[in-house]
Amino acid sequence: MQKRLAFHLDMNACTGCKTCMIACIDKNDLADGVLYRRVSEYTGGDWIRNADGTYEQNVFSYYLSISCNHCENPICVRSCPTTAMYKDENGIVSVNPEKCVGCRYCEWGCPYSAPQFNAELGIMTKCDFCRDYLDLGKPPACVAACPTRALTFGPYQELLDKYGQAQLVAPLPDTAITQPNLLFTPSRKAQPAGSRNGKISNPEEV
Amino acid sequence: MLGNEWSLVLFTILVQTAAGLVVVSETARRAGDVHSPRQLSWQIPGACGLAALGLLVSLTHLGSPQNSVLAVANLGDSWLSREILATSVFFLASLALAMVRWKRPERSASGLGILAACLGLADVFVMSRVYQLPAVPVWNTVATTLGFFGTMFLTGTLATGVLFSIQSRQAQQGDPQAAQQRTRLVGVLFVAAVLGLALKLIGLPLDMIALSAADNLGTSGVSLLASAGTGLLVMRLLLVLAGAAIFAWVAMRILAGRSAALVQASLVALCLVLAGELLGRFLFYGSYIRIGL
Repeated sequence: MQKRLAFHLDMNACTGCKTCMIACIDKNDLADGVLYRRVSEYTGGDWIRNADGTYEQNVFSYYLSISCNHCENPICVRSCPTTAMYKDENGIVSVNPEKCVGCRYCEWGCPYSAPQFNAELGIMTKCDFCRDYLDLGKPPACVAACPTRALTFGPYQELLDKYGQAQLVAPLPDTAITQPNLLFTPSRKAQPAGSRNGKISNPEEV
Repeated sequence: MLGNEWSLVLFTILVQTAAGLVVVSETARRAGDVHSPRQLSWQIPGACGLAALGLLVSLTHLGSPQNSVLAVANLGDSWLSREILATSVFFLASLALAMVRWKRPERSASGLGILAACLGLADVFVMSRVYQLPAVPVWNTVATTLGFFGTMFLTGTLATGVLFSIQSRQAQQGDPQAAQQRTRLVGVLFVAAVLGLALKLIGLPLDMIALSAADNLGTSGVSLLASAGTGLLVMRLLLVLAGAAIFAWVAMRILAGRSAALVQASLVALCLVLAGELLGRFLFYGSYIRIGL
């Protein structure tokens, strides 16, 4: 298996259809309320008054399909008291269900909501990059399902060479916290990181 | 916002009260030069009971408590592992201290007493570090540490005071030597309570700055409080201040030599402060707001 895999999201191509979310739920047979991949809709804008007294709008809306970013400096792994959360030799971060105590401390610290608590099992669960599919040479379920090819994956360096390092967009957190293996191509109206212009308009979905 | 975190509210307050009992009573013991096995001897067993109860309650927070023995496996990186170790070690040291004094009441075991008090202080510090996560700006301030130490000094002092007043109910008011010692003990309690209150009040504006951080839903800690919590925040402050005021009145009465002990009044003071602290800790967990998605 290739090492240090990353996701790439082309925000210009993403229509917010959420097929990736559904494919993930289906593949992992996720319990109600548990989501390994979430598509957030970031929306904002207002009417702007021009000098001549006319008005125009500057509304924007864009989608961010985010799962675990299998970070280089995963705060979940550092926080986990039992070492149940671990980063394997290929760089994939996952939970050892035999060790997890279900304290949910990883959930508190992750700025991407990657660790998801399964109340029925009493342990944390999360995206494992469809490790089983990768072993078979298949892409992860979310990537395979994307109808617009907005979501792709590959070795981090390859994706970086292809797409370059884009400016961070809101409301993604500072990459210095965890060094995520996530690359994206921003859309035209993407707001700069730290912007307070918008808000997530579909909180009940993510 | 976090959901139901009652187990963590109880765990942190019980353990911080236990640490306060050990720190304050051991300080009072040294300041008052106490050697009698009939004075300040209930505080350490009391602290053991509270710490044990706190550890038991913390298990109810876990989804898979059967794996809890593994929770000290990541001491190198995880503050949560360190918290569990620090609390366990503090509990064991206090238990050892209680056992030594119970078996041999003539021994003051002051070395072990100092060790237990230091472990209590270390534990409260480690507990506060657990919450200082870079993705949670509301908690990631020194105000968390100040608040936890404030709780430790306030509740620990009042609990020490209640046990002290019950134990010295039959004290002779006329005995000048006992009165002098009592003055010194109550003086220590008074200073510790003022310290606790001061830490709480210093933390308050810092808390407010941290609470102004908003999440990506446009929700900030301030807006959470404004919608549901302003009354709770005010009530929490009033409860703590009322409790501290009653405690100060009791301390003044004893210092003025007008009374040996006022059990009911100090019990009321403790209950008020505990209620305020429970409410405050509930608000602390309720103000959880994380950056990112």
